[in-house]
Amino acid sequence: MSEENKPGQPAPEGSAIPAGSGEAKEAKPKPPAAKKPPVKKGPSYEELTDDPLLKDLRQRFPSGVLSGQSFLGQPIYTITLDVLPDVMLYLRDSDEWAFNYLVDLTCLDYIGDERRFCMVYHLYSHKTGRLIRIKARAAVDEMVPSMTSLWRTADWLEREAYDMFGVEFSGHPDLRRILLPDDWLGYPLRKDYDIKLQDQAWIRNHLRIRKVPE
Amino acid sequence: MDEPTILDAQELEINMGPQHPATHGVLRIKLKLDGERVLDADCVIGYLHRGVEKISENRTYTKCLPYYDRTDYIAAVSNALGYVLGVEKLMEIEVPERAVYIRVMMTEFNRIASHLLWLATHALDIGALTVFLYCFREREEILKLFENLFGARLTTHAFRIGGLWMDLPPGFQEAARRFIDDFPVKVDEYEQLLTNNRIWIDRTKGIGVISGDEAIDFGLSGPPLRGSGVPYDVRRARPYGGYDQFEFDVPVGENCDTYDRYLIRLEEMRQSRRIIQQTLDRLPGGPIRGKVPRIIKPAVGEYYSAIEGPRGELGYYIVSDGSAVPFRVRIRPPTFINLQALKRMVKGHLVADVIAIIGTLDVVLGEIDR
Repeated sequence: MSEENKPGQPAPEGSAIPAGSGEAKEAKPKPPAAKKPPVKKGPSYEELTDDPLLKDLRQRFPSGVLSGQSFLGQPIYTITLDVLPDVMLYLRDSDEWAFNYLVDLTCLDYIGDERRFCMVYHLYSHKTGRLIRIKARAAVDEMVPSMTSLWRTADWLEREAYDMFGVEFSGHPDLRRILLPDDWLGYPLRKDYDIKLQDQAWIRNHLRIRKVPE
Repeated sequence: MDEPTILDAQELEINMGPQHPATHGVLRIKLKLDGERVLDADCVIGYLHRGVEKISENRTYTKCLPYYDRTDYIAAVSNALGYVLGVEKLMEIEVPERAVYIRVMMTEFNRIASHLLWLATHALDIGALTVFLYCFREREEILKLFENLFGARLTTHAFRIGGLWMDLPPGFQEAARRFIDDFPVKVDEYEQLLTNNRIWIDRTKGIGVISGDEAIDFGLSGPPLRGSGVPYDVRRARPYGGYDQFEFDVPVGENCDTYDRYLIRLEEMRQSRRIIQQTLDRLPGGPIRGKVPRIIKPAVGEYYSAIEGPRGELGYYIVSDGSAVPFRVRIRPPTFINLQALKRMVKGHLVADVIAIIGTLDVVLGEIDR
């Protein structure tokens, strides 16, 4: 879908129409062309250089911390999956950081990548008022350590991630579907699950619709 | 002596819902009972699942917006604000001051409308019919204001990326002023009916107690968290959308029970009225929409935009891959996470109290199931 939209973007910059429309007008389009250099590129990822939390994490988990970035002022720490429980435990219990509130837990699907799923955790500290984002990549057949023992919030959120992406969590007490029916096939928020795709058999059996529209 | 008799108590499993008037939609709770006492509760949700997050991945940034009205249909204006702020951050769009003020005003009107609906149904569930009629009387006035400005009462499609669709219609400010001038008397009326009412106190005091630490552990937000003494309000903690320009108090409870949460919501309505008063007094002139490109196509990146909705922290985690369609829009639904604590809060209470606790969590199933 994005391919179709690409030709639309260069249009504002391109001066194809004024150039072809006559010599007399040629003098006028020039001033806007001079203004061109400050092209609005939008925000971009910036490496965190002087961040005390990143330094602390790097020191404690030398091999586990992959990168520290910020986007629009929101810090993002990418770590490996195996240190995830330890990092989270440390962040929650350390006096200095005290990230005691799990705001959100979700997943992104980068189809085609070797480690396809990106787990995203938003943590907030009621003590310092900081909000951070922790990311960890997981492959399809990899078990993600459950956060239910650290925050009870994680219970339903992990069930939802399992329901929508098929991510399996190790150590979750009650991992089953939450929004979709228990016997539904497929994981709808995966990128290879088309929006029109439904579990045809399920709909036929449960809703008594004989012919399900394709 | 130990022979079982017919009177011996046995554990009983019953279904509350999905078609139950007090579950505010289609919430089904599997209750495990010992007589009248609740031993355990398991929520079954998803009856209203429409896949809003999946739909978002197949629509352009602008076309996603109306769908979020339909998640939490009681607070459609707040829902729109959270998403619009996120996209504006990603696009680096400046919103004119007048639009910022009108947005704050309408969002606070929405908070009042939502709390009124909550109070009406909560009181009705517990058995006070009069409050229901009173609250709907005031809510109607707010919905008329919505209809005037947005053209719709419930699914408002309130804001646009970059500002507003239309400026305030003639007579709007007068009508808004008339409402907020009358409103404190109306809140006092509800208080007269309930605050010192013995039945109300008996039904709500000491019901659904959850301590501050536990509330944080469960990720509660909004009035349920503040009722447990944690002064966390996103409007204060991480001000957004111009809220740092207005004065208001964040009420906090002490006893962590249903009664305190009731008092907090009443106080929040008064504080919302205070904010609306300030927006009306200082409403600047000027344009209502900033410079918005024809095609909304944010650079590769991500932003978590959170607002304090009537029910708690409503977050939109928007991930862009540089195309005109969002790569992912994750909605952090406040009531989905708040409802999780129900299991813990109903334990040991009577079946009738389950109704009160569902009410105090202020669930909206459209948002839980998305």
